[in-house]
Amino acid sequence: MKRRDAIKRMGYAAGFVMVTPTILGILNSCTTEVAKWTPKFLMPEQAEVLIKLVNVFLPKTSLPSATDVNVPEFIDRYVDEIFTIEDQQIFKAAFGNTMTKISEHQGIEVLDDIEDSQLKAFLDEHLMVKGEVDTEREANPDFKGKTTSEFLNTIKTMTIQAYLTNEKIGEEVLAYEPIPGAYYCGDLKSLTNGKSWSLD
Amino acid sequence: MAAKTIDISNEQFDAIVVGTGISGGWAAKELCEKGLKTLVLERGRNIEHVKDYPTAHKDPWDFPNGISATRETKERKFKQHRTGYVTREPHQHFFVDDIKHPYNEERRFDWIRGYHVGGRSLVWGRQSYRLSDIDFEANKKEGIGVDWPVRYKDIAPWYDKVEEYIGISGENLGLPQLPDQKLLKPMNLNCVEEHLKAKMSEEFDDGRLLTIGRTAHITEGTKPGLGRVQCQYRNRCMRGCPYGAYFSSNSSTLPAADATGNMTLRTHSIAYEVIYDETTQLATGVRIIDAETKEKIEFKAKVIFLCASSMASASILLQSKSNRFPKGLGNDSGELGQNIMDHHFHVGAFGIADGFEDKYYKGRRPNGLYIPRFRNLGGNTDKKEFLRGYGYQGGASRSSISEMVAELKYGPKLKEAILKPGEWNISLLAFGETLPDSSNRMYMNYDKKDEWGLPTITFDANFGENELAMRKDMKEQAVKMLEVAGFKNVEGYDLEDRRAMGLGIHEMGTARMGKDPETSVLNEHNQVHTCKNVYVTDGAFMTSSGCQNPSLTYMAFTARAAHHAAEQLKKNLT
Repeated sequence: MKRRDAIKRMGYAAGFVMVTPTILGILNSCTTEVAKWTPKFLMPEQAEVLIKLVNVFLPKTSLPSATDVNVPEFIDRYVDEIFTIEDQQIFKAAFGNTMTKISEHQGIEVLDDIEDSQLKAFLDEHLMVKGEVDTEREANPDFKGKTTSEFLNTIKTMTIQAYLTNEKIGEEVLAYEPIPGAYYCGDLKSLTNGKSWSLD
Repeated sequence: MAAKTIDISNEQFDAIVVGTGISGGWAAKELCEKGLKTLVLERGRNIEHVKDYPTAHKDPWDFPNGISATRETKERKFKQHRTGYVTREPHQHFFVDDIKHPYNEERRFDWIRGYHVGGRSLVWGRQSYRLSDIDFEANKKEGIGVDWPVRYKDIAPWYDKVEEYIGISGENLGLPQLPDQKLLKPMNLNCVEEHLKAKMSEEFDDGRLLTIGRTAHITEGTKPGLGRVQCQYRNRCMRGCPYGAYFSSNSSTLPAADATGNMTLRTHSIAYEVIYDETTQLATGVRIIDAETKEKIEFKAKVIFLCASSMASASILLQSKSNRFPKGLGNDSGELGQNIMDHHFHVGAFGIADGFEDKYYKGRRPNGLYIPRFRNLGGNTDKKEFLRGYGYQGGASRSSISEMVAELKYGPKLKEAILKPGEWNISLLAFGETLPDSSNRMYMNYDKKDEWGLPTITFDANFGENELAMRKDMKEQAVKMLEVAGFKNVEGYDLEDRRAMGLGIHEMGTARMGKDPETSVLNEHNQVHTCKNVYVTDGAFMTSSGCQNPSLTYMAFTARAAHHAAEQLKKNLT
């Protein structure tokens, strides 16, 4: 092997070579407004509701909100590119049913301007967490689709997944170490200040 | 190492190696280093170390959907997807398209393949254990299958040689069922695994032990090849390692072969037949189809090494028909394609460890714990319900989000919970030995051809009574060990829908070694009994399966066979 090649290889080996800059893509700026973002899978009115819903799940605090890190686009693309056709149909139907239920629950026809407080009131009643019973599922144990609670939990889970798969969260909020160089046990506090590692 | 495109069809080679994976890389290195002019044939594309690892440095957010497998990938690679993990975006490009590369199943068989230079050495699990005389003698002792024509003392020096060259980290335990190895310093267990280890030594008197896995990673110093240095604990091995920290043909053996100047590597070359000469009763070369041009070409050589993978090498031999060998080259016994074995797994237990909430770890360890075989070794380890034994792999880790997430509906508290690590989970996953059984087989289907007009493989194999009986114990003992350690929510499992053969990706046994040409295909040097200049050194040669991960054994037998072939050639020339 030529010396220059060898040095180049060693550079790779020792981790000195800069890799291709990470693709910043959608993550550079906040683009989550339906005006700027054309959903690939969702209907426009579903996208409007999704934008509001993900920010109820993960609102702005000292840390970015769900829409600050483009969670709705991630969810829309994920359903479009990852879901099987069958799962897409189930998702679509469940989203439609849930929209109808929100309308009925809040007594409003158009959901475009729904308030966070109205969505919270709906979630309080229809999103079942651990320890709560999904009566809709109990009434229809063989139903192949998703109940309202199951669908809302799907959105909750996907929101969390999308949030944690974001570059800003992964590199600046969670504990980030692309090249650890070792493996050992230690105190949670001193290793990560109580945070999770972003890569596993 | 550039793949050759020049016209080489008229060249006379000393040796041809079919395949560039774990075995082919070793055959190429050893034959080239012995001074043999060697043609290495690979059916897929070239993969250059580092340069062709496009995802090696990508974080989850560098992919459009994180690491999830896309629907398109799952549809094209639908059999590969049965594993549940090889189709993920960071490494799916190292696994085959099942529509382009079909096979048939009388009984379900999960044939997981990578068609490119380096083969599955790029994506293997890297756990590396030796077989022992308990394994080599088991068939004879119990009257199962045929006896291995080899004993541990014959292969031990070749294990030494391979281990010193590739680098394996781990801990020697001095066990008769798991011989000591040439090991680099072990990786660390974490605090929960240390706890289980201590409890096991207190609570069991049948010799069962817990150790860190022996894995083909460099943990100290460097190893020969293309700048191979220490593991960085990124756990992105399946994407190809830019540090060359784990062993692959691409980083280690093929560059060594290339450095001799004796290797010609031809990619896109689908070997389908060994050419047999009735007068000399030897093979004279190999026929290939160029995967791109579909041109058929013959290459000549004095010795042939089949290292195409257990199923593919058997397929080539089955297609090599002549007047002398109407059932395929070397198939007088009819055993060719039979006795398929794999390790049965997806059985074990998991639990949750309390009391370690203030502990965490740094790094992503590409390895886990190992519990060596502790059954049927004599005395209180013997079980009458089944023959042979099993080992466990597994480990403890914290889930990356707090369990609070499941209890919270929305809002700032939920947001805090998703940033905190959750419980410590521990899992034990058993890998069990499979007995050879001639009804577990593959054969060529000449009615269903691939796009190159070659017959496809049909599989007809599954696990048997002994394996099913063993699985009960595999589950029970996993539960027992986690319970004595005081873990909570301990649950055993045996996933019936994942019990098909092949899923262990340790498929082997289709051209077994043996003493008698009437009952086996290969002799003690991996030569076809009845055509001595053809060697088969991939998983096809395995006479029994052991419960150890097999790749290290393939490497050791390949190095030994290459040495033998070079000696034979030297003798014939002088």
